[in-house]
Parts: sequence; C-alpha cells; structure tokens
Amino acid sequence: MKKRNEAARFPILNAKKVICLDTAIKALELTKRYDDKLAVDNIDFEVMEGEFFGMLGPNGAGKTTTIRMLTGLTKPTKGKAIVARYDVYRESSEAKRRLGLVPEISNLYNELTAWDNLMFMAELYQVPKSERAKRARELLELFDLYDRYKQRVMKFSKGLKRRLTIALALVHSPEILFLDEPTAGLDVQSSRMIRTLIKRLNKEENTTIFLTTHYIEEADELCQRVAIINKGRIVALDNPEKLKIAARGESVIEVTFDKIPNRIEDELMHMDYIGNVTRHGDKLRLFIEDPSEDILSIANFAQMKGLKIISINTLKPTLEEAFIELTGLSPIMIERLEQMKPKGRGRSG
Amino acid sequence: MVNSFLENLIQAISIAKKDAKIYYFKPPVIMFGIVFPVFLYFAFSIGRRVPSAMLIPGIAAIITFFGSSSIEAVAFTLERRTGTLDRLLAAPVPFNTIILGKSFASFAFGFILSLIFVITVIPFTGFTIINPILFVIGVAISSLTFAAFGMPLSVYARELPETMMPLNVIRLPMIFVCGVFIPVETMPIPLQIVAYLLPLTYSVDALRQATTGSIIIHTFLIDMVALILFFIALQMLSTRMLKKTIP
Ligand SMILES: Nc1ncnc2c1ncn2[C@@H]1O[C@H](COP(=O)(O)OP(=O)(O)OP(=O)(O)O)[C@@H](O)[C@H]1O
Ligand SMILES: [Mg+2]
Repeated sequence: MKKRNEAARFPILNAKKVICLDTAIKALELTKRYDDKLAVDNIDFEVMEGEFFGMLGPNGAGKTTTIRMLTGLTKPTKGKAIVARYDVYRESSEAKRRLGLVPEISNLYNELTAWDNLMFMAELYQVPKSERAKRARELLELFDLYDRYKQRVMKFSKGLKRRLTIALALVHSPEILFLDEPTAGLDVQSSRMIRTLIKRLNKEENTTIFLTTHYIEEADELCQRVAIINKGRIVALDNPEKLKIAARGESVIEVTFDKIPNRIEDELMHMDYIGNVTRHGDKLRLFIEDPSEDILSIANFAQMKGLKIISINTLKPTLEEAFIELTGLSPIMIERLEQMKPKGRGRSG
Repeated sequence: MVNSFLENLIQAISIAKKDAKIYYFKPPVIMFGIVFPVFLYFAFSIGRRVPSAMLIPGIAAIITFFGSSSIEAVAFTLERRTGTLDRLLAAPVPFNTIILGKSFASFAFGFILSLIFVITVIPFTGFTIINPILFVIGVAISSLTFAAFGMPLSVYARELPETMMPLNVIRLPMIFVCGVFIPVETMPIPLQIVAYLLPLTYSVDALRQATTGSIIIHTFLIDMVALILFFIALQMLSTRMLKKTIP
C-alpha cells in the first residue's frame, strides 16, 4: 500500500526503479516438452514488481505455453515457476490468489450475464462480500461495459468479450496480471482502449504486467522490457530501445531534394561520414554514424549543388528490425506481420 | 484448518450455483436427465401389474440416478471445450473443491427432480410413503452418490459423446441388475454379486424400505453407509483424475 502511494506522489521519479526491488515473476530453466516437440526450451528470466514486461514472438514460439506454466495451467517438464514469491506448483493457491490471467481465447460463461460472470469470479477468489458489488461496478465502468451488465455474454461482440475477460481477471485486484495477446484480432479502437487501460493499471496501481504479443508496435509502445522468443528460446531480452540499437549499428537519414541529378548517390557516398546511400522512389536514404551533426553538412551539400531540400527525416531503428534479425523470419512472414500490425504509428520521426 | 475447509466449502457452493444456472436447462441434460426416465416409467408401468409401492421408489431411484449423473457429465465436457474450465483451474481453488462443487450442482438436480416426480405421481396412483423423512434422506444421499458417479468419465472428455456413450453403457444395464424391476434376491448369484457392487442397488433398497415402512433400521443404515462410501471413493477418484488432466 505504501509503495503505491509514494509512486503516485512522485510520478517524476522513476519510482519503480527506486522502490521495487522485489521479483514478481521468476522462471528458472522452465521447459515444456510435448512428445518429441520442445515448446519451451530452458528459459530463464525475472520480472520485477511493478514492471511492464513483454514477450514477443511469432506463432508457435511458445508464448502461451510459457504463460500457462507461469499460471499453473500446464506442468513444466523441467524447471520452476515462481510468482509473487510462491512456487506455482508447490504453493499453488498462494500464487494463484495473487495473479490474474487473461487467456489467449476469451473464456467467459456465455450463458451468464456480465454481472454474474463478475460475481462468480469474485466469489471464487474470495473477494469479501461487502466489496464485490462495488468492485464489479468499478470494473464495468472502467471498461465501458456498464450499460450491458444485465446482458448475457453470448450477445457480446469480440471486443466486448475481450474487455470483460480482462475485467474478470482484475476482480480480485491481482498483484500480477498475465495477458496472452490481449488485442489480437481486435479493431483499432478496441485495441487502443485496452492498451490504455493496461498502461494505467501498471502506472496507477503498480500492477506487474506480463504480456505476450506478436504485434511489434504493441511491445514497443507498452513494455519496459521485451523478451523476444523464437522456437521456445529467448533470443534477446532488453528494453525496446536497446534492442533496436543492437539490431542496427548506424542511423538513417531520409532526404528528398527537388530534383535528383545523375550520380548524386556517388557524390554523397564520397562524403566521409556517409557509409551508404540507397534510393527509394524520390527519397534518398543515407546511412551514417551520427545524424545530429550531419544534417547540417547535408544542407551545405544541397546549397553547393543548388538543390532544395523538400523534406528531411531521421529514421529511427525499429523493434521490427531487431525482431526480424533475431528470429530470422522469412519475407512472407514479415509481410504477414505487417498486415497484422495495428495502424497509426509511422516509421519516420 | 477449519477456516480453509469452510472457505473451500463456500467456493464449492459458488461453483454449484454457477453450474445450476448454466447447465440445468441445457438440451442434453433435459434429454438424458428427464425425458429418458419418464419414458422408462411409462414403459414399465403400462400394462403391468407391478404394485406402485414397488415401482415408484424404483423409478424415483432411477430418476435420481440419471438426473444426478447427467449434469456434470455435460458440464465438465462443455467447460473443457469452451475453455471455461481453465477459470476454475487457474483460480486458488483446490482440485477436490472443484469436484465437490460440481457434485453439489448435480446432487441438487437429481434430488429436486426425484422429489418432483414423487409428488406428481401421488395424486394419480394413491401411492403413499409410510416414512417420508427417511425417504427424503434416502433420495438426498442417493443424489450425492450419483452426482459423483458421472464424474470420473467426464473429467477427461472433450466431446459430449465421449462421455455419454460410456456413461450409458454403464447406466442402462444397472437399471436391470439393481433390483428396480426384478428383486435382487431372485437373480442368479453372480448377478447378485454384481448388484451389490453397484450403488443403485442400495438406493433402490433404501427408498423401498422408506415407502413400505418395513424398515429394518440397520439395513437402511447399511444402505446409507454404502452410498456414502461410494461417494467418497468416486470423489477421490475424480479429484485424482482431474489433477492428471493438467498437461
Ligand atoms: N497441448 C499441446 N500438445 C502438443 N503440442 C503443443 C500443445 N500446446 C502447444 N504445443 C506446441 O508447442 C509450440 C508452442 O505453442 P504455443 O501455443 O505456446 O505458441 P505461441 O507462441 O503461443 O503461438 P501463437 O502466437 O500461435 O499463440 C507449438 O509448436 C505448438 O504446436
Ligand atoms: Mg499463443
């Protein structure tokens, strides 16, 4: 309780780093084998209390299997899962009391109303009787479901079901929330709403978040640290910015001149700070070491050649590049990922 | 210890209430739990001169049996298919509490169904129950045992026929072996042995004793104890099996 207040009072301090030293989730040599297939292969990681942690990976990478092992729904073949300081298998009730789970597929009781779904979960998690109704009302309002509380879930759209599934996972105010692809297959508005709510939950309630996704932009936007998982193994684990930089050593400047003289690429390439130049339609991409200083030289270059600069952008490295480099996905897969990606965030900055 | 027992009991009741709301009115439940026993009643009462004091307790036992053992067979299977079973498995609820909760839901269904049947037939048949209190106790304990009966078969299943087929393969012959229409004493010895290994036999005997009032108190007690032992054994078996379903 004290932790939460302090974090709320000093939002400018990176309160989580200063205060929260405890581990919320710990995976120790966690392994799951199905017959002869290794779904999760000896993974180790720690998530700190109050952290927003993401697991990013393509289909079949082992994300769901990892979450199921961390929440007591699948037995690890080897290794240990510790959640909220309790062993998920030896002290399962203690661990389960402190975690909330949003599974990959919304699993609501379709025959019951939204309200009855909430009440049942509250009873199951032993929320005191006096608080149940209040908590349910709060959640319905938070997820903008209040006007539908009497409706049977059967009649809900996919987005509404997803929101209610998340609300159900929060009935007992868990310390740690596991979300398995919370926004997969939802439209832009629903996804954005869900992301905003999860972000708030993490900030305001200091709830530790463990989220899996195959949306690169989602991991980039939300997570403090991201583990990239491929074929059951964690291939990288760091904060998104570091992963991006690791994936690409140099920066890229994109310029458009009013005209493109012959051999301009060669001339640019002769300048000693430019490593490489590529052409994309009317744009030129310059691969360089330090863009902050070099923009000025490019302006000088343009003046010298009598060219006008129509636009100039620094292209930031993307998490996608890190992802592709680390998972070695084929171009077809990349294209598919592109299509699945939520719209609205451009690449240039 | 006592505290956590009580807490778990309350959780079990919550599970039972939820199952009652969802599953009591599902078509497969109505089919196997209600329509089928009613059909049996007419099949065996019309054109035969079995005295109603013999027939009605037997039919009441069958209704309890089919009613109680159908609910969870349906509920478990459907919940595994839709993934809602994961809600129970991911919650801080011990396996035996889940099984107990499911048993309670089935118990109440068989119990109520059977009493409704008996109350309905009384005005038409002039049938009387000499010892109604023992009759109600008998129906209650029978319902509890039969509630646990369908469970071990349904814990694993993913599709309804996977549960219903084997369940009926066991349930249907029981009607003929357990003394509902043919008194157990008149059957060949090997069949008698089989009969005494099945819970329905004890249920039929207890209800019949309560109806005719010819109660030999210790045999009624033996019936009750036998049913309770069946309940405990089936409960433990189902809990173990549920634990094993965690992949
Ligand atoms: N119950 C199971 N039996 C056998 N194999 C399984 C089982 N569950 C998962 N697998 C296999 O384990 C691997 C990892 O699956 P998992 O569902 O964890 O991947 P994922 O990262 O969640 O993928 P997705 O993005 O498609 O949800 C897959 O190859 C899958 O086929
Ligand atoms: Mg998955």
